Amino acid sequence: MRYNKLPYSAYLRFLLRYRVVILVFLMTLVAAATFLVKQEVSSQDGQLWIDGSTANSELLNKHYKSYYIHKVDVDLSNKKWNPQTVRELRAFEHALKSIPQVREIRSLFSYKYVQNSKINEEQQMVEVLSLEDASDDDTYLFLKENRQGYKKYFDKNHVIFYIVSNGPSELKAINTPLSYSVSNDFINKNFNQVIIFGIVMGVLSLLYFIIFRSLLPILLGGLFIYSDGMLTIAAYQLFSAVSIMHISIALIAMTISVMSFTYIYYKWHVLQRKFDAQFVLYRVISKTIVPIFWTSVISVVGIGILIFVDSHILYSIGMNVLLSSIIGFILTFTMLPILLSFFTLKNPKIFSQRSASSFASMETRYNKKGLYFLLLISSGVMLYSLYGHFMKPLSMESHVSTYQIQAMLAKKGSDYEQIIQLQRIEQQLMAKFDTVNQVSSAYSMIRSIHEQENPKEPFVLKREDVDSYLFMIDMYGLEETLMEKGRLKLLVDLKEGSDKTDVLEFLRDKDLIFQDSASLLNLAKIESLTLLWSVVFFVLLLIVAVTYYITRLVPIAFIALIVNVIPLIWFYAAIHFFDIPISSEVLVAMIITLSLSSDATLHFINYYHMNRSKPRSAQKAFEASFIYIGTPMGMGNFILAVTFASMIFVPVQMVSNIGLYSSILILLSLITDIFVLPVLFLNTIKTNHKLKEYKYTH
Amino acid sequence: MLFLLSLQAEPISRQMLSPQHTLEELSHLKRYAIVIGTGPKEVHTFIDPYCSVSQKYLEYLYEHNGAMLKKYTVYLYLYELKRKNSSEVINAILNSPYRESLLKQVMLDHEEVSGDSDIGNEKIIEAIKVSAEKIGVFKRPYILINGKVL
Repeated sequence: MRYNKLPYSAYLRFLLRYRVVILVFLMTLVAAATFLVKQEVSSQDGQLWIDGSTANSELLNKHYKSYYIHKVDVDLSNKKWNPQTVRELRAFEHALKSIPQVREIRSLFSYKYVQNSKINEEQQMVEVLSLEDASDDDTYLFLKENRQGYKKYFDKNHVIFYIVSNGPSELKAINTPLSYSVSNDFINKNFNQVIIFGIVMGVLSLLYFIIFRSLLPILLGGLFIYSDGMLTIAAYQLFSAVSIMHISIALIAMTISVMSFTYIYYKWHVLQRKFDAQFVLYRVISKTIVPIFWTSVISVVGIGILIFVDSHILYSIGMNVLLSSIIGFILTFTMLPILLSFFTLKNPKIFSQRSASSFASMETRYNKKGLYFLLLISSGVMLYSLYGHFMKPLSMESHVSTYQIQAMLAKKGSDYEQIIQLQRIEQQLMAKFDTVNQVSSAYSMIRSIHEQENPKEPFVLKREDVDSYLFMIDMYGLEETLMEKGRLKLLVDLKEGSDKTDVLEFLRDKDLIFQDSASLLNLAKIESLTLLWSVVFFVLLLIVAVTYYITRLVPIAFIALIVNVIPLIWFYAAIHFFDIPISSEVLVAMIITLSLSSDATLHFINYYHMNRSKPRSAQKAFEASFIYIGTPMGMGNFILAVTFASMIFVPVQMVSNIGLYSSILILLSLITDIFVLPVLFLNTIKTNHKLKEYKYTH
Repeated sequence: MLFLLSLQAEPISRQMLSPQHTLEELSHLKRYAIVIGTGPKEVHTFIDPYCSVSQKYLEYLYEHNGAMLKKYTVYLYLYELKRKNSSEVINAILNSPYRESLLKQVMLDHEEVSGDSDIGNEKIIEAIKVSAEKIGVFKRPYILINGKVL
């Protein structure tokens, strides 16, 4: 059969005939994208998580704004406690108040304490006071005697200020003789994206050169990956409803384009010796278009479905994967063949050819026990993951060290019912969680008033007493402290270093509106995780469905499932074991792995499936699949793992974490693809009689 | 004898009437009160103009640009503390056509007031005293909301 009558040949002829026009058109688009896209890529993901989440939507629907709570720790270990220190602390608080966007400072000066101002039995009244207007001398003496009541703000040699601000504004250096530190999240770290992408491209180029011993893949790969990235970012800016452009957009686009490029370039590279230039391109397209198409379908449908959710981070990732996959697919079968058509290699060398062949023959003589051992261990790991999933909530990274939860009752008003609700929440929190230090609300204030008024009487809140307490709250101007636009507030102080996820999970069923951005962030993550698991299952289902569609064989579809599940369960178990907090870095790493592993599985299974149509033995077809698919699969994964690993050294935690998690997951995926997929495959075709005989019937 | 002495020394520091009866009592007494504020909720308070805690209480009521007085209507009953000797100033305030202003002058600005301190207001003072004793007013300020002391 002449190749020009084969499928895709007409397409290739069209592509080659108009290659200059198409290439100029595509390069013009890339150039336009380069100049037109907004160059700023953000590594701050907090707002992306919060926007669109249920908790935040509830807050916005009730016309409230979220705010940030930051902690400033003043170290007094080198200071004496005297009126002069009080003066300096007061000046420091004044300076904090003058920071733009700061709406409130919670400190030992603003703290409201309850006291029975008693001259004698006939002249007395319970008062709610603060040290705000007290003199420095009085403050010094008062705190010396009442330090216990101020533990929240004045502990050992540390004085704590909580800054409540409308946004993550920057704390500029304050001119003070006091030594202080600020919770990390207050400092808005920017990163030099040129350096990051420079490192990534540098490492990629080096690896391509080492593997292919040629400058051509560096040139073509660089151009292809850059074009794909730029067009994806431009399309994202054009079509996305979310304007924040996260660094993960560029990284996911890069991952998809690196894998496509590696598969295609490898195929083209190794076929250079065997066939003429045009036939090489035909072979490249015909052998890769089906798996790349189906991988793109899985990514577009499976992960792209996230564009229908409200959460901005998930929408952003969905849109990002959707656009990356579509643009990657289009460029892979337009730009890449066109670019390759301008070149031929006379003496193509490859780093791994011999090792791939010998590895393939080694795998055909695999030890069954090893496979079963690995599967057994993986089953154990899965059980551990399931145990962790149901028994212990995952910790969520919130980038804050304030350990406060600020919420308010969903129901407006300050009636008996609302105060009793606060009482119930406080009592349950204190009974259920050792991590809760203190709960402050209108209820706790009322209880303090009662304790000062009637120290001998146990406190039982009666319906008829509520008005009296509310009168006092009004009289001492506590409405602002205890209420927000008609809703009673609740402030939960947690112990330093404790995880607030379980407390938040408990509180979110209590009909509350959460207001501080750190809690909103945690809640958004809890919510997103549930959705993310659905997406993971959906993608796995799609992989199984597509594999079955291609092969019409249940055992092969089952292999596809096992191979894709193993890296995820190992990673999930590691998250539980090392108590890694869930962050967008983890999410990005999982999405990258999900797209990569489906890529490898489909390429391998499709290639084997097509090879079996030829009169070859199962083992021969397997060996060929391993050489032609296993090698670029391993290469692509290795290149990506090293590239992501190089990002660990970038001094921005977010980027560094993406690098760490992604490289670990890609390595896990690589190990599964090299050691589990082929061996499991071989085991199935050896033992399954039906499979041994199967022929390509489409 | 010792028992009787100890009974005498112990001040009665609890409300003598039930909230409902207190409210009934106050409903008759409120015409003798100095009324400040226009709010929907009623608060009744026994004060002594020379009592520093009562002065502080009044200060709180006028704070926050009068926000309290938009929420509450406060009935102030001038009820002398024995040791404060405030009967003259109470008379002066009660005799003034501008009771609230004079009360503020005395209690917030700590001004000496001169006026008709001799003209009798015995009826008012006595009515307040009788009601206060019935209710069991033992301190100043004695704040009653829904007929119950704070």
